[in-house]
Amino acid sequence: MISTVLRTIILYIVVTVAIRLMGKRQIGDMQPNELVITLLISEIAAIPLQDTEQPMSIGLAAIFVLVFLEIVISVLAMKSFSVRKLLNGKSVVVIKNGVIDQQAMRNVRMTVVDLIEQLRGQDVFNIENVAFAVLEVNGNLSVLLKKDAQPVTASDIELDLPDDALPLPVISDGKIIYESLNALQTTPQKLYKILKHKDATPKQIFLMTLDRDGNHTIIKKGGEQKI
Amino acid sequence: MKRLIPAAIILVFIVSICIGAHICVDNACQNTIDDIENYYNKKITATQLENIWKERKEQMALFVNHGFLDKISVYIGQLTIATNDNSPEFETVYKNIESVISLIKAEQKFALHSFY
Repeated sequence: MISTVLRTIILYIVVTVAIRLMGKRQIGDMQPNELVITLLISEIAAIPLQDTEQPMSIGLAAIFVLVFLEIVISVLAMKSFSVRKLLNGKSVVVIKNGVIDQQAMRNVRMTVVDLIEQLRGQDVFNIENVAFAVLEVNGNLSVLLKKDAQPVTASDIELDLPDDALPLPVISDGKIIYESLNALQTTPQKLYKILKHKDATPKQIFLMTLDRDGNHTIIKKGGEQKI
Repeated sequence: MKRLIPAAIILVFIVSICIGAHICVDNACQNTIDDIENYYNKKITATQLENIWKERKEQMALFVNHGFLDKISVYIGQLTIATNDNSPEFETVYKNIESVISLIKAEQKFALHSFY
């Protein structure tokens, strides 16, 4: 029983490190080869856990071989377009100027129902409004609307808006995040000044965000909301 | 190319495991056969044989299927009883150990039948 627990801990660490080495992509964003390797790693990790007669080194070696292959293949794919095309395929245009390319749809084995479903997911309800719809290699559909169907933007009406300032969390669960303060080029003194103005101490704060312009949001601990 | 550094480290690790496992298992198998022969020739006692095997089993468990090692433990137990009683079963038990050891060795080597 203890050996199973220890094996589980070790394999958990190894699989986490392995996935970390492979990169940060989410399952939905994975390329076909990455998905295959992730599935294989999870299957292989389960073998020494289920069968304690198997030495753990066999499972570990297999996991490391897969991680090695994944890293090498991803570097090759990054360097060479043909390797990338071979491994991941290429994007396919399925709608052009509001017209569905039926041959392309057949090639990628995509039904009209799938296409309409994906378009609806992007708030597009009329195919005629689509300038281009591209089926990406990870299965997502990218849609470019025709000019007359695109929502109005600030530049369309020549509206001059200030640049967005990225708010960063500066206090989380009562603790000051000094990295964020450095990134915002501000000091803890300025932070304390804001808190003093709000009659609060860092320990009372659940979350505080701050941007370069000094705009901030403070949420106190214990159910009290923004102050 | 920075991304290839972990790949190179992993490759070295994999190659080390493969070579280490091959050397460790090969030596342990040969030493086990030698120890049984020493026991048969009365150079070591039954208790010594069992103790040596216990230590060796711990080392081999890192790379070898534990089921095989348990089988050899049982056979070594039978072997000591067989010789103590001057039983003719010694040869049979010895052959059983040899066959398990050959299976363990075969697992370590690349063979087409294991590849298929």
